[in-house]
This record gives sequence, structure tokens and C-alpha cells, in this order.
Amino acid sequence: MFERSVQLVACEFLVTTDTQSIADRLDDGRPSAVQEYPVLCRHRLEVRSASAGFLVRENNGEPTLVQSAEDAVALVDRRMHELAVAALADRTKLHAGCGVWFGRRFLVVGRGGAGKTTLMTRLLTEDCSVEGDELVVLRDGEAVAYPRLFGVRRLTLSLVPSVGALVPHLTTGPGSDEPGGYHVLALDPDRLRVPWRIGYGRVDVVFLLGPRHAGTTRITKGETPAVLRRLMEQSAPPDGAPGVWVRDLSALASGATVYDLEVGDLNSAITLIRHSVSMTPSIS
Amino acid sequence: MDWSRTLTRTDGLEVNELPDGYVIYQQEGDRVHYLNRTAVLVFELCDGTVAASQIPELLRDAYGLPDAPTSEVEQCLTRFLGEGLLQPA
Repeated sequence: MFERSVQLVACEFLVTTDTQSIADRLDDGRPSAVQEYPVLCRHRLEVRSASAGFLVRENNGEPTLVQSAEDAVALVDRRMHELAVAALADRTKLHAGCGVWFGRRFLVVGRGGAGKTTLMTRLLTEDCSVEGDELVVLRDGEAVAYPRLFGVRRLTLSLVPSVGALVPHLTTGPGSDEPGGYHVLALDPDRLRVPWRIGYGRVDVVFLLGPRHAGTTRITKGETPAVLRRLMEQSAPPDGAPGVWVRDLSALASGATVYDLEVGDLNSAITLIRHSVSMTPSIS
Repeated sequence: MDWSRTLTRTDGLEVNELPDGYVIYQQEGDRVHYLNRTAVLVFELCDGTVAASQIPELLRDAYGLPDAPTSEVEQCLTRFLGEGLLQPA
């Protein structure tokens, strides 16, 4: 038997299987992140080979028969994320990258395609602890990054050479984003020999990522009504609790220094992020 | 504007304090309101004990203004009443 333990924020999963290839596929997709968030729930998932395919059982319930090892891994993966997200139903979810630099936790908030992953991937090559590139879970001003592999697009491969070097066969071709936001690489920072650790705590700085433009990178202090509006646009409320949503975002805006960041080029954006984070008083 | 009235905040408001104002979630209508510092002061003065007529003078004293900002206060109170954030006490 093969056993794998996976933590996704507050949920821990024990996955057992009698098939090596299943265990190997699970290892390929499992984030290597060491997570500090306390485990609040545990689930057991089992995959057993059967004559007609594979039986997948969740918490000793009725098994589901799937045809292939690929299907079994996809089902296990999907259920883990569904259960992990369900355990966070009472939290606000924010489209944001998350990192810690100079002892200060910062978020980079923006819609899909705004450049969060490119920025956070580039920050992996700086002396910054990058925790996530896409999703942050909030409660009362405290944030934790959801552990998922970084969804890298082709453009990022050319902008962050050390990542592009991992998949040289993908760096040729059009330099623009794939249509429909297609990710060409699911990146674990471990592949860049960067330790991946996900902590949690109060947020010191928030960068609201503005639309890309060909020009100078600009950073300005955010104004409260506009900041709240943008945070609301990029977040989802807890189930059935819009008042908690407003409270979570207000706590975030209240506790952090918020900037509008319009990225002209990646290098200057990194310089400004470094400067802004290092100069911000830490409240964490 | 009936200046003789005392006003108070309506039920079902969740008030979140920010450094430069309030963000208020209003359950009825599922709405979010932002109040700047001056609006916060007006809102807080409407505690059911202060007549509306007193508010412009209180603001004049608080901000050291030469004249009481009566029309601005009227606009603010009218807006609060229209949005359902305040009601007659």
C-alpha cells in the first residue's frame, strides 16, 4: 500500500492506494508547500484497483468506480479541493498573490490575466517568500494563501528566464498570452529549488494591480472607497454572509497600507514592490 | 428637512470602522455605504438625543468653521434618510 498525506489549508487528507502509478501521479500534482495553518478537519481517500478500473472511496463511504488511473487521480484531486474549499465556506476568498518580504505579508490583488502570477513567479527569484499566486482566504484581516501550483502562461516564461529554462520547448512561439487564459505550466517553486512555505497572518501591504500599459510603472496610495470597490470586485463572500464579506475586506483595508500599482515593466514593478514593502511598518 | 426631529440609525446596519471613515453594510437591500470622516460625525451625532437643528452648529464648533454648514448637513441627512441609514427616533 502507498500512503500520501496532503494538506490544503485547514484540511488534511490521507490518501491510500494499492497502485504505484496512482501514488506517482498524486505526487506530481501535490504542492510541495509546508503549511503552517492549523488542521481543522481530516479526510480519508482510498483508491483500489478493480477488475473494471479503480474504486475510489471517501471516508469509508460507498466507492465510485472509474475507468482509468488518470480518472481516479482526477477524482481524488477534485474531491480534495472541493472538501478543502467547503471547509473554508465561512471565509472571504480573494483573487490575490501572497508573499512575505522583509517580515511583512503583502498581497497582489487583480483579476485573472492582470499579471499576478507573472509578478509572483518573478518574486520567486528575489529574496522574497512567495506563498501563492492566485487565491487568498481571509478572515478578520488575516490571510492565508491557498496552496495550488502556480498557473504560468507562455508570456511569463519569457519574462522570468529561470522558469522558461524549465520548459524550453514551450518558450518558442507567440509572445502573447494564450487565448482564454491557457496555462502552459503548473509550477511548483520546488522546481526552481525555492523552498515553499505558506504561513498565515495579518496583511501589511496590499497592491491593487492595474491594467497593463506600455509606459512607466506607477504606484499611488489607494483611496478608501475605490479600494473597497476593487477588493469586492476581486473577491467572493462567505456563503450567505455578505456582512462578513464587508467586514473581512474592511479589516484588510483598515490594517494594511494599500497601493494602486500599474505595471509598465516587470523590473520596475519589482523594485517598487520591494521599496514599498520594506518601508511599511509591520503590524504582523 | 424637519430640523426639529431627532434621528437615529436604523436596525440591520453593520458598521466597520476604517482609519478615514466607515463602511456600512445594510442588510435591507444588500448595500454597502462608505462614509467619510465628516459624514461619520453627522451619523454618530444622530443617536436619538440630538435634534437635527443642533448638528450644523456642532460641526461648526468641531471643525472651527466660521459658519455652520447647514446646507451640507441637510444634504447629508437627506441622503442618510433616503438610503435608510437613519430614521426618526
